[in-house]
Amino acid sequence: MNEAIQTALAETLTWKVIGVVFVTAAYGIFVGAIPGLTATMAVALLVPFTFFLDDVSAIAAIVSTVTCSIFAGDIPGTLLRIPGTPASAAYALDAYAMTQRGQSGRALGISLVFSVFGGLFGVSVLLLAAPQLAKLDFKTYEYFWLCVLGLSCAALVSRESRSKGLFALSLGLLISTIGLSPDHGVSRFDFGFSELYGGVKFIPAMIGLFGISEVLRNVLWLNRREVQALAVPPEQQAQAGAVRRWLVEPISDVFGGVFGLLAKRIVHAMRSSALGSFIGMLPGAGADLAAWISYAVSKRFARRPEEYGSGSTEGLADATTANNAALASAWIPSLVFGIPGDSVTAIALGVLLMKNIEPGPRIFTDPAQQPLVFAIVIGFLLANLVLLPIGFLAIRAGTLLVRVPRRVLMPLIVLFCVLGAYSIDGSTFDIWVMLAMGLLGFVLEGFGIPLGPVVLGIILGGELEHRFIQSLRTSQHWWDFFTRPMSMVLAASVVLLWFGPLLVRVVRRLRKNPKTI
Amino acid sequence: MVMRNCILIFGRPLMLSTRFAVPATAVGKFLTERRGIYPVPNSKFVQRRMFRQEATWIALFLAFFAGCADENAYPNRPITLVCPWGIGGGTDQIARQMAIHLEQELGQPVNVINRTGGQGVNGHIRGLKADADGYTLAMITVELNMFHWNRLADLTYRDALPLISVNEDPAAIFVHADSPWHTLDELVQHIRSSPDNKVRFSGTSAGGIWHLAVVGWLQQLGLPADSITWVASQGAGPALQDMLPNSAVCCSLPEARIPLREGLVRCLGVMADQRQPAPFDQVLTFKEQGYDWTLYGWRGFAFPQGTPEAAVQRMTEALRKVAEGQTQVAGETFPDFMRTAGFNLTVRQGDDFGQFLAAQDEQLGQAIEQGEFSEVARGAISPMLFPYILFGLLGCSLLGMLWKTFSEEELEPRPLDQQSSPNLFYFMLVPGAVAAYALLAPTAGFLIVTAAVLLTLLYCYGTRLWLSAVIGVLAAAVLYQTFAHGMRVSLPRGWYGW
Repeated sequence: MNEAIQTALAETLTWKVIGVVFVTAAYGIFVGAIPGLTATMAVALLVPFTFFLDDVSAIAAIVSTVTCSIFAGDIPGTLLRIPGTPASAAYALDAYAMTQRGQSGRALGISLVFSVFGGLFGVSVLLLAAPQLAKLDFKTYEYFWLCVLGLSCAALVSRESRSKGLFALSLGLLISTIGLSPDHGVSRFDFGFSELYGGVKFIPAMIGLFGISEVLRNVLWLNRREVQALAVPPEQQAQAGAVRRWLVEPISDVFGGVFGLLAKRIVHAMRSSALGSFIGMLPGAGADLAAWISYAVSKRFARRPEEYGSGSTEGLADATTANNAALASAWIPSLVFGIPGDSVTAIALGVLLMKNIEPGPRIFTDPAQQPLVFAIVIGFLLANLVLLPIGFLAIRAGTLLVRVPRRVLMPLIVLFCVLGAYSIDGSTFDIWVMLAMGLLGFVLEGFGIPLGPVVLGIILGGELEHRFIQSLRTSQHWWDFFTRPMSMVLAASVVLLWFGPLLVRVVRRLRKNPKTI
Repeated sequence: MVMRNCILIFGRPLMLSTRFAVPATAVGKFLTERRGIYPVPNSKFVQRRMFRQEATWIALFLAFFAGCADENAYPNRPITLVCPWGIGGGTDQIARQMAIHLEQELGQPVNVINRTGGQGVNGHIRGLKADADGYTLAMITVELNMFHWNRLADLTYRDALPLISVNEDPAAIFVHADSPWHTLDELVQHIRSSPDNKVRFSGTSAGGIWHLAVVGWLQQLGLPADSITWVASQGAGPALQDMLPNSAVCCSLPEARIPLREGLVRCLGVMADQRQPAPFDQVLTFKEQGYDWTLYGWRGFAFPQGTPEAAVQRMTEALRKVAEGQTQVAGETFPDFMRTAGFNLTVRQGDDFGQFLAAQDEQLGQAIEQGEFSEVARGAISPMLFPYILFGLLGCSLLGMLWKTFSEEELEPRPLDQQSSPNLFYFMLVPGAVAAYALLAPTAGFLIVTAAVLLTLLYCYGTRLWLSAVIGVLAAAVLYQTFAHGMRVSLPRGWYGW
């Protein structure tokens, strides 16, 4: 095994590979950061280029793009409230609130540093524990309850009432039922459009729900006569010298106090990373679920939970850590079973297969495959380290964005949204889908209904239904859903999540007036 | 080239008028100053204004010619290969390899786009209903023969001009290594004798080709389609992963290559005419075990009906060369790739392919029409179960929201962002712009529509006209170069091909 590590190191730490990592990091950040283009797109568009690279470079390219574009999805989420990935939607509200207070650099700095921390933690898990973790006995019942738990977390963490969260979630799940159901071979709710056979694609839906609705909200109140930047730009000391202005201040604006925050909340960060790694490891779950569940857990343990949703640095930090930790561990089911952990890994897996990496339980012990597997691990390490400087540059560029007047920015965002929606499949129908979802998002926000659960419902609805039906078909009795130990734990968590406060209130009232029993 | 020219043209006036390191706040003011509030006019400023106007026209002129099509022999522009299945899957792998080899052979880029969904319906429609100009090549798979039988779409093999098929993978039945069945006879015996303890089969979605393979075989034996339970899965991988000792999987041999090699599953038989090449040469065929049943999943390439003869000839020629191994990419031929990836390379050309399609259409039709396959495919659980549960939840949440509105809890007033009144015209511009884009882009092309839409939006929201034009054209040109040429994303083609 040491030989394999050495071979992998020798092959990976070459100028060519490091160069590839830098270039794809910049590329990943570029595509991930533009509102309307997403991390999944970034990876999908990279695939044709990987054919011309050798195995190690191709792996490094994919890994680097994935890592950096997932972080880059935080940038439009923070600055414009348009998340680049569904996972970013968990904390987009908090980050945007910080931008409105003029702390956009700080918010992105937290995002960057905690992302790197989570990523490094996730890589360690991948390296040290993968073969053991792969033997985890998760069957269809556990997957079902995990999906329910994750979706419940998304529905319940918003500041709005539980009913609104449930409404948003149900709506998203209903939208996901449009099209052919793999369990039934029957097309539902397609209104005669053959383009809807495959269902509503989540990228146009997400772009529309968050992006177009945000644009609509902005232009509705647009005022021609004023120069309206998006937020208050950070204060600048005009009299300071060149070094201070161009070096010290930008760095302190982004990183100031962030490492201190990391040190203070190291336990929370490790908890979030562990949670992220665990959830990311389960096929079909991934970074999307991990961020939401971590955010919910963080809110549960927070000292000031009412801040969540209006600029809580703790919530932001914990969720973004879990997000990136899940990335690396999402490769475990891909490598060991050939089953992708999330949407981005699905595409990456395709590339791996074409490079003749054979997923299987022996992938970590087979001497022929080991160097490539270690190359993946080293690629992740490199990518996370490279993310710090390149992410910093991206943040600086992003804060310039904040000063561009809305009237110029909004048309450009509309264009990018349309481009993003069209580029997925080369289909104009997706543009209409995006528009419809944009109008829907606008209406929903008008009633104060959160958008995050809607997106998560659209993405995970298919998986949830599939596991539900599969569990129904596999089970002999209805209580099979609860009898396995892990199922019991997950199911109990779901019940507590939904009915916890109610139970607490009932218990309190009973204690106060014992006579009412 | 467009970009370089634009930079040259715009660079000079910028350098004259401002220093590079301008604070961004000044940029904002500059962009939105109203006419008439200029600094004191001087000759240098007038010169800059003229530069801007000239620059605008030159930029427009250059963008116009950014992607003019060259009217030489076919093919004279990039070709789109439509793959009806997802990235990384077997069909996609074959499509992308073919695309690379075709690019070498034809000398034009061949871009693979994945149009997934609907068990292949989307991709097949996109490929076969595209313009029959020879620049859209459709990858077709076995599902093409199933759509009209399953009443999913009106598409049949007659809508395709079959060029070549490159792959035929017969279906095979796998069981868990710990299962009690070692031969097909034992499996059939169990199915016949235990109607209450149905074998659970998996391997693809309900109604998919492998489901049909099993059902068709059972029907030939006189067993009804519901003598087994089909548990849908997202492809063969997860099905093989989730297998229990009393379940079986039907899929193609390459898809189960790894579990088979590891000894985790056993292959009872393959639905082929002959034994398959190594590493599957030990697997008995159905025929050898006394069951005269074959079923192949296949993959091939076709043009839409009505494609001009010249294009058909050239493409067929190119495809044939690739399939025969006359092209090389990175030292590897197409047959080399098929062999290492484990796909069965079986080549049928032109008419041979067409006859094969017709014959298989009939075979599948018989299997589907008999025994009410589509109802069985639906399964015992109603497809509307989950939606009904969701409607229930939706109703509950609505009730909950109404309760909250009328209960004693106070609602937080939503703070308004601005003090001004809402502007409905601005609001309607956005859906209008998106709709205009969706309607016009396929006709007029990406560059024109993008520039026009941007120009309109920017101007309506208050930016000056010339600046709107410049930003519009520049953004359109840059995006086109980056996405269409840099990243080879398909953008709408129009009158001029861009």
